[in-house]
Amino acid sequence: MERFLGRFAPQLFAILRIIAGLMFAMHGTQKLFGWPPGNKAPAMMIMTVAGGIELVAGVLIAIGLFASWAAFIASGEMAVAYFRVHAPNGFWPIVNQGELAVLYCFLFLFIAAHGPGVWSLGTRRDRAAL
Amino acid sequence: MEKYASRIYVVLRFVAGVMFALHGSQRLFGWPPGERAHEPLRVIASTIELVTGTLIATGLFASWAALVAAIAMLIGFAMRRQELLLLYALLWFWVASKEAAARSRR
Repeated sequence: MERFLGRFAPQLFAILRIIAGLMFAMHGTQKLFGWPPGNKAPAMMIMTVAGGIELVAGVLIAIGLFASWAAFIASGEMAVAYFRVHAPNGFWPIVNQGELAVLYCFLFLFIAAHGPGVWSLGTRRDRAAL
Repeated sequence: MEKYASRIYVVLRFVAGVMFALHGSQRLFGWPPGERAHEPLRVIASTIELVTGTLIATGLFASWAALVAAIAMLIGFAMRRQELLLLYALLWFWVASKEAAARSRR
C-alpha cells in the first residue's frame, strides 16, 4: 500500500485540485451564461457575484495560479452559500442538499492553507511537497 | 495559514467521512430521513459507505478504507454521472495515498 499508492499523494492531490476547480468553475458558467444547461441564476446581484467568484476562483484553483487566495475566497463563498441557501432546509447536509457546498468549503480551505502543490503555475513556494 | 494545513486536513477528512457514512445510514436505516435502499447492489454500496466513512472519519485503517470508498465511488460515477460522486472518488484516492504516505513515515 505504502509503495504503490503512498508515493503518488502530490499527483493525486493535483488531480483532485484540477477537477474540483474545473467543476467549481462550471457552476459559475452555469449561473452566469446558462452553460452547461441548467437553472441559470436569476439576474440578481448576489447570484452574479457568486457565479463570478465560482468561475474566476475555480479556474485559478485548477491552473494553480494565486490558488491559495482564490481557494480562500471560494471557501468563504461556499460557507455563505451553505448557511444562506441550505442550512434553513434541515440540519444534516445530506437532507438539506448542502453536501457539495460543505465538501467544496473544506477542500478549498485546505488548498488555501496548503497551496496548490505540484502541476501548478504558482510560485516555487506554492509547489512545496505534500 | 500554512501551519494550519495539517489540522484542516484532519477536519476535512472527518467532515467528509461523516457525511459519507450518513449516505450509508440513510439508505440502510432511514436516518437521516430519506429514501431507503432495497436492491442488493444499493445495500452493498450503502454498507461500504457507512463502514468506510466511519473508518475514514476516525482515522482507523483510513488508507485502506479510503481506497475501497474511492473505487466504490468510481464505479458509482461510471453508472451515474454526478458531480458529488466524482468529487468523493478523487478525494478518497488522495486521502488513501496521503494516509499511506503518512504511515510509511512513522
